Amino acid sequence: MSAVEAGWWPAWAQAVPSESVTVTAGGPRRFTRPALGNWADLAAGLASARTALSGLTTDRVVAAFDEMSRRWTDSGFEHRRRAIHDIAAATGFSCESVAQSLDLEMGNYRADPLRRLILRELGSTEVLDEFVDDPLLAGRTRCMGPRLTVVSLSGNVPGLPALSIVRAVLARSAVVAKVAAGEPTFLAHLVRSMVDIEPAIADAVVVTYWGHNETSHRRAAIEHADAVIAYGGEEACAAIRRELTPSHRYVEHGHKISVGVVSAQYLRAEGSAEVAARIANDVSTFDQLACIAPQAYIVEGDPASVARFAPEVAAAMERYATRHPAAARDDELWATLRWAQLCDVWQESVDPLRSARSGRALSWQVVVDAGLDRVEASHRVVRLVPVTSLDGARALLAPYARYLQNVGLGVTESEAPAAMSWIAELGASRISSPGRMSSPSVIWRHDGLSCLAALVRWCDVEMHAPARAAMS
Amino acid sequence: MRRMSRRWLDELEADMAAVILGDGGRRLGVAGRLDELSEATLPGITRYWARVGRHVGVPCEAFRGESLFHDVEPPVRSFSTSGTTGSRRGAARYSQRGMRLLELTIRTGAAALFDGLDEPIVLRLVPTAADAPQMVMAFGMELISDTFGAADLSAALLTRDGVDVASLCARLDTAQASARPVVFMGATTAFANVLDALAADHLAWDLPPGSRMVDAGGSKGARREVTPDSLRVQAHRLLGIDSSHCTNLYGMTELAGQLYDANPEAVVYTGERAKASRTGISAEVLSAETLAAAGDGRGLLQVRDFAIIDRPHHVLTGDLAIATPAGPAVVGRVARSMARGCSLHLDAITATSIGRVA
Repeated sequence: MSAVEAGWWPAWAQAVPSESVTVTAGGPRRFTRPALGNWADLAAGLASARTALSGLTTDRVVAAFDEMSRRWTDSGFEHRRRAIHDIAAATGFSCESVAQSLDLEMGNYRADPLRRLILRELGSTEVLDEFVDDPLLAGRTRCMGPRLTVVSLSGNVPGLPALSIVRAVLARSAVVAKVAAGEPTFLAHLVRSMVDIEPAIADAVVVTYWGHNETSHRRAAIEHADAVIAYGGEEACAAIRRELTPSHRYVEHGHKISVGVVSAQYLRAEGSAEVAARIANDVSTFDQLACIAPQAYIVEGDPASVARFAPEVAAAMERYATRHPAAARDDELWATLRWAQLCDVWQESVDPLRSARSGRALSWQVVVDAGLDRVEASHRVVRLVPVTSLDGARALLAPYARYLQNVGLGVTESEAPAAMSWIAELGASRISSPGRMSSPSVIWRHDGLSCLAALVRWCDVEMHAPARAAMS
Repeated sequence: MRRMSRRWLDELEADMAAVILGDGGRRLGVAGRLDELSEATLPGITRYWARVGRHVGVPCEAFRGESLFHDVEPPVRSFSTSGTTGSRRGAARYSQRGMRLLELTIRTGAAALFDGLDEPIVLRLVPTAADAPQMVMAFGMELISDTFGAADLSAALLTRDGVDVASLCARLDTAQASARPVVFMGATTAFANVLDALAADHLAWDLPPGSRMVDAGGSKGARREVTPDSLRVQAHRLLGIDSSHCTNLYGMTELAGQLYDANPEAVVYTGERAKASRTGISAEVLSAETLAAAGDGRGLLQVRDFAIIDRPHHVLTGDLAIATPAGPAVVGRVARSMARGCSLHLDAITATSIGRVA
C-alpha cells in the first residue's frame, strides 16, 4: 500500500529541500519535512509567511476561525467528512464518536469565545494589532507573538490539535506542528480547509512529523522557534525541555488525571438517573482518553448506596454506547480491557462491597471500588468510590494532587464554596458540573495556564510624553 | 468450609508429584482435586468462576497486597512478589507439603538444562537464598546449583554491594582454563547490566563447549531496552555461548514451576521464543475477546501449575502472549499498556511518586 500524504506543506515550501517520513496509523501516512540541513530554509519561508499573517487584524483572524468553526461543525463539510474517515481509520474510534469529538472541539472557535479569550488573557482585543491605552501604566502597551511556534502533539483525541494552533495563530505566530503518531491525520485537513477561508493562515503553518528518537529534527525545529507548546508524557516533555534555551517561551501540557466528586445531597436533589447520565457522558466522551475525562467518580454515601447507584450508571453507559459506539479493539486493547475486567471480577468475588459490571464487547465497565489505587484503565472504564463525607474525597485525591486537572463537582450551593476551595488548593485547574467535564471552553486556563498570554511578549510605553498625548 | 483430611492431601501430593515427574494421565484428576481444594477454602473463587468460567485462571492481581493461601496446613515459608506484576507487593506462602512440591518441580524442570553436563560451574546473578530469603528466584537457582552444579566452583555473585565482578572474572578464568562448562543463571536485567559492564572493560571469554546461559524475568525494570536477541548476541560475543545454548526461563513468584524456551527459533522479531509446556506445568493463550483458547494471535497468558497446593494452581499471569504451535511466546505485560490519549493512570502516578516499580 502506498503512503498517502497526511501533512501540510504550503505551496511556497516546495522550494525547500525536503524528505518524506512515513507513520503507520490505519495505513501508511506520509509527511514531508525539511531535509535535516534545511530547517533554516523552512524557518525563513515561515518568517515571510508570518509577515503576511501579521498584517491581518485580530478581528480578521477571529473572523477566519469563526468561519472555520462554522464549517467544521457542519456535518456536510467535505474536509470534516474526510477527517472523520481518516481519524476513525487511524484510531479505531467509531465515526460517531469522532464526529461528536469534532463538534465539541471545533465548536469552541466561534468569534465570541475567541474575543473573550483574548480579552481575558491580554486585557484588550486590539492589543495584538497596535498600541493601546493602559491607564494603570499611564502609557500605552501592545504585545507581540512569537515569530515561530513549534507545537509537539501527542495522544489521539480527535480535534484537540486545533487548540494550540488557534492560540499560536491568534498571537500571529507561524507554526510548525509535529503531529502525534496515534492520530496524525486531523491537522492537515484543518489547515487545508483554511486555504479557502484565510490563505495567509494556511501559508503560515506546516504540519509534519518526526519520531520520538529523531532528536536531530526536533532540535533543529526548536532551534528556529521562539516558542514551544508540548503535549505528552513526562519522558516526552522532558526530552523537549532539554532542547530549550532561556529565550524560548514554553507551554507544557503533560498527562493529567481527572475525577468526579458527587455529594449525597446533590445525588438526591438532581436524581440518581440524571446524575448517572452525566457521569456516563463525562466518562464516555473521547472514549475516556482525554485528560479531561474522569477516571473515577467519588460518591458520598455508604458502600451499599453506591452499589445501588452503580446499575444506573451502567444503564447510562449502555445508552451512551448505543448512540456513540466505542472504539474498535485490536488484540492488545482487548487484552488490556479483559485483564482489567477479570481483575475487577476477582475483587468483586472476594469482597462483597465491590462490584463490576460491563457492557457487551466490553464497550464500558462500571466498578464499585474501595479506593483509587486500582484505577489504571481508560476506554470507558469508570470506578465509583464511596466516601462517608466530602472530606474523604479530599483525602483520597491528595496523593494525586500534582496531576489533578479537571474535577466534575456535583454538590449543592451550600456545599460548593468549601469543596471548590479544597479542590483548587489540591491543584485542579478546572471545576465543572458533572456532565460538562468533556466540553471545556476555549477560555479555560488550560492546565492552570494563560496559554495565549504565555506566548506573547509585551512592550510598554511609559514616562513618554508623545505616548501620553496619544492616549484617548 | 470443608476440611480436607490428611490422607486426602497425602494422596493429592503423591499424584501431583507423579504429574510433575511426567505422568500425564493423572493431570485431569489432579486439576479437578486442586480446584476442589481451592473452592473448599476460598469461597470467592466459586463466585469468580461462576462469572468467568472454570477454565479461566485466577488473575495474579489477586496476590497484590495480600496472600492467597488455602490455609489447610500451616505456612513454613513465604516469597514476595517483585512488584512488577502489580504495583503493590504480594506474597506466595508455602506449607511444608508445598515446599516439597516446589523443590521437585524446580529440579525436574531444570534437569533438561543440564543434559550432557557433569557438574558444571553454576554462576548465579542472584543473591544467596540466605541473603534474600523472600526471593523465589534466589531460592530456585540455588537449589538448581546445589542439585546439578560443582559445589566448590559454583557461586551466587550478587551481593549487597552489587555484582562481585572480581569473583565472576576469576571463576570464568577457571572455567576457561579447566575446560569445565559454565551454566550462567540470573535475572535478564542483571545479565544485561553485567554484560554491559564486561563490554565496557573490554573483557571477554571463550567459555568451554556446553556452556549455557539461562536468563529469567525478561526486561521488566531494565535500565535500557533489552531484547532476547540483543542479550544472546552479547552472550556470544563476550562469553562464547552460542545462541542455541541461551535459554529464557519464564517464572513468577505466584507460580512454583518454570517454563523454558521450547526451541531456539524466534517467534517475534525481537527474538522472543515459544515456551514449552510439560506435564507438570502448562501454558496457554486465551483470546481476550472470547476467553476461549486462542489458536493464534495475541491474548492473555495463563498457566496451570501442578506443583501448587497452597493456593489456586491456575493463574492468569497478566502477560500478553502470542499463541504458536510450539507454545506461547510472551511479549510483555498487559496492564497499563492502554493509555493512548493524554490521560494518566492513577496507579502509574502513585507507583512513581512513592517509588514503586510501575
